[in-house]
Amino acid sequence: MAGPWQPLVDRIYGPRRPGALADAVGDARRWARGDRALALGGAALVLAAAVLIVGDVRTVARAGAGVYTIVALYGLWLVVVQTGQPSLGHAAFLGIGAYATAYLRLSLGLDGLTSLAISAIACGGVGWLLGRGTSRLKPAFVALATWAFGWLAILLVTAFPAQSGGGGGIALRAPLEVRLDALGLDLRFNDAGHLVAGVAILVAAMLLLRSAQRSAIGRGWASVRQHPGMAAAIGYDVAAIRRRALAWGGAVAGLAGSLAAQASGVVDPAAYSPLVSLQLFAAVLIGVPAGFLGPVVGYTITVLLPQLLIGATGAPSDSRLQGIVVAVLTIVALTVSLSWRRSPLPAAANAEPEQAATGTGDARAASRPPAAGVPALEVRGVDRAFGGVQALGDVSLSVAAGEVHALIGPNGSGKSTLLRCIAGTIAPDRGEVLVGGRSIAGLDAPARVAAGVARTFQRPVAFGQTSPQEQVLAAVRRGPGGWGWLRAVAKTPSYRVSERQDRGTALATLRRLDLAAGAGGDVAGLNSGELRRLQVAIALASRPSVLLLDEPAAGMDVAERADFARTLRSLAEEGLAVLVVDHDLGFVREVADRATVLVGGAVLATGKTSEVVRDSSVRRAYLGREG
Amino acid sequence: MSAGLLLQVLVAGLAAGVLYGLLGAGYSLVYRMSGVLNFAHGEMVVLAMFAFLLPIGSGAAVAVTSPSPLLLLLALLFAVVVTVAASIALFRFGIRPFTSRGSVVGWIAASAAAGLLVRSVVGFLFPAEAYSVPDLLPTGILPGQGLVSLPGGGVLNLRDVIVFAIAAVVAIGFDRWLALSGTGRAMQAAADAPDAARLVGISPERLALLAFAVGGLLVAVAAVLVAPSRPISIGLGILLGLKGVAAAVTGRLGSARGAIIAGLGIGVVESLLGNLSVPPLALGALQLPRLDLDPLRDLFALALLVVLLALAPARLGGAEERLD
Repeated sequence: MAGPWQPLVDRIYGPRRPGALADAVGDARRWARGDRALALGGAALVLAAAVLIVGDVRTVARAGAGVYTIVALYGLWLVVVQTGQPSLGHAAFLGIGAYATAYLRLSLGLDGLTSLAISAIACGGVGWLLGRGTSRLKPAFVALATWAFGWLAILLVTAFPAQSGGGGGIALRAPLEVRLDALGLDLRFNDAGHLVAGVAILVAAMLLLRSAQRSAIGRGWASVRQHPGMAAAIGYDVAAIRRRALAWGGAVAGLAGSLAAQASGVVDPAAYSPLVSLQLFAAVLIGVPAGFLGPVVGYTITVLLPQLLIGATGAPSDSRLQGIVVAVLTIVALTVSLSWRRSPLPAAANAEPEQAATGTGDARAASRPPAAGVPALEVRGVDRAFGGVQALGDVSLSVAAGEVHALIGPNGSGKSTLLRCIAGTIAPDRGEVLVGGRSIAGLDAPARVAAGVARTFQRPVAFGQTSPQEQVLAAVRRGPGGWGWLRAVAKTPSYRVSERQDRGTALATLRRLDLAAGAGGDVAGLNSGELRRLQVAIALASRPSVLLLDEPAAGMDVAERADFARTLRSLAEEGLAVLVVDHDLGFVREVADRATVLVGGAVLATGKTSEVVRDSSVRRAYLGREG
Repeated sequence: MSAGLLLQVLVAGLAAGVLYGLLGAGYSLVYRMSGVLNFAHGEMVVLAMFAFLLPIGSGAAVAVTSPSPLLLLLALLFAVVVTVAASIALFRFGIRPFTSRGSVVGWIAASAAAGLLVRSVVGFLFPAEAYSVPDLLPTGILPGQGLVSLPGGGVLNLRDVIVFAIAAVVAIGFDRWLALSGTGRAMQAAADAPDAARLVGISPERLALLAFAVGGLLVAVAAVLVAPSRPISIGLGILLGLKGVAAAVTGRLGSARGAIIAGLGIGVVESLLGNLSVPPLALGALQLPRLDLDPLRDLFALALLVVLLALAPARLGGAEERLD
């Protein structure tokens, strides 16, 4: 049966293996049973059908516009709730989509569908560019920059009325038309058509986003949102993930803006004002406790509920009261939803926990052992000064694969600075750091992780709100890579296989560090020794060839410490190079083959641990001066 | 441009820039004390302007012709009290609940929503398009309504000079208060090392509250000074707020003095843009008509903000900190 296309089929569906079909059927069944999005999609279709049948023309038109707004909200949900970027300029994307469509249709004479596609892509591009500016900013400044971006967009409209139609906007006379001559198809979209198209797009967008959220992609989002610094330390390109989310969010909003303008026949600048951005932002946040249905709930509370309330009082719908009702409802709902106890932000969803429990993964240490004779880690003549203080002066050391090397010295001797130079947090003034014989100068944090360097921190950090297994899993595979995101979203069998393997690897790594018992529990329940071991597990999950540990045994009791030392030794025996900074000479003697003593930023001694610890000058440095 | 016209543009720019500067100083102080960028700060300007109008004669689209000086002073007091109280309430009920839990998204959303509330309440009480505000300063008694013709066609508005002088006194007083008073120094201590400050008995939370109150006070004073120069509407607030932020960020967020100087700079550039135009250009086949720069006036501060944030986030203190 194998034909020339077999490689392609294998690529998408993975190599054939016994039981693959049964697995696929099981997966499909579980998905159909458990997925609320599917039920919701059905409910939306039924609701839309009901509106179409019993609603009058105005109701249908308003329902269609509402659905497009919810589509745009899902784009913002990706940006705000999933990747944690407080964007206050989302309505500008609606506007850019609408104005671009008007320009393409009226000035260039393109048809509606082409204009729609180009507008959405253009908005994606604008989102990406905005992300280039904002992806490295603090959250408060992201809010400020996007807020200014939203204002800039609307002020450009008022500054150039000749081109933009000013406050009155632009009229699009011809309806959206889809012609497929080959099929003899000619659809002109009226309000009902837009409602149907809107619901279809909404359901499609929801399914895609949900699928992405429940895959390795979603783990990347969660990592970046919960702890950007930690995400970068385990190898995620934080800025790229944020940029990508802004680009997709922008494109979705652009699509919605273009469609809404073509549905109503006008490009109305009031619909894209920064105040609308604020409402969209509030709607998305209000929906947070509702999880994946958040945007729908947020829209209901911020738009439908005020309309209902004002309608009930019998006041005219354009009443001045509306602003106050909307504002008060928004504040109340925000306060309630942001103080929601259980999960303030959704944790990365746990897609297939049952396989993971039984999975036997690969928790071997080094994946890339260096060529024979080349040290796994080599530091050559590193200098580093802070202002006038020489923290490191001509420091050299090397750690072979399979070796545990201890870095010891009194406080302020430059141990942490050296570790930071190796990890790439700071750049050395002079000298270089080689991993497997290759210089890693100039690489950013994700590239260093890819080169095989992993580290833990002096103060343990963890992603909040996710189980230890999810945290380790986030480090096992940092996003699907390349075009793999399509596979991840489509949940192809090959993706499922690799996902299952990754879960197995994560669990095996936890088992190795004696953390399997609490793998699915809450991180907050871990004691300090467990938390430190979790750091090591997360670092190991990225399959490093060099592991840097900053005081990993602090806060462990004697028995824990002995176990931990044994674990480190066995990891090294599998070919990992371990550089460990610690104060406790007992622990160091137990775990390290060799040791380097730093005093005042310079190497005082280096050699076998037992000899170095006995050395008289070392004893003086430790016990004499520091006492 | 003649020297006279230049002087006119400069003075008008400085008078407008003073408002941005005082707004920016409020942003800066609040940011330094609480790490919060108050998205409702601009709406406080509108609140102050309309609170000033309320005792004088609410509901009327055009102000009472000549309210008594006593009434004006009373109105000023009312505006100050309302704005300061609103700022304190904002901090206490809108910001604190979220900053104490470390929810950045929370206080961003809450301050923005509070701005919406202020805006819609003011809009409910004052439904007309625009209002004119009576002048607290007795410029009517100046010769020629305070307008002085300058050689070369410019007109110097003495009111602008007076506004600038008063605001400069307020700004300098504020700056000295921060540098010299016990409270001002406690604020600096708390901003630099909140935990150490707590140990010596300084409460950073109370100082943050005070920062909001002082921010509100500065806003009220600036608003009442500047409001009579043009018709006001509720839409004014957000844009003014953004210009204030632009001043604060340009002047290195956290420095009140920097914010005031940057605000003056923005005011002058805006005033220049409003009076300049690029003459018609003919470059061979390329013919460019005369280009009025006035439409770009409001864009300048925003563009400055966006460019600065994109290019030099670390220098402005806006770059994300890295782990370790």
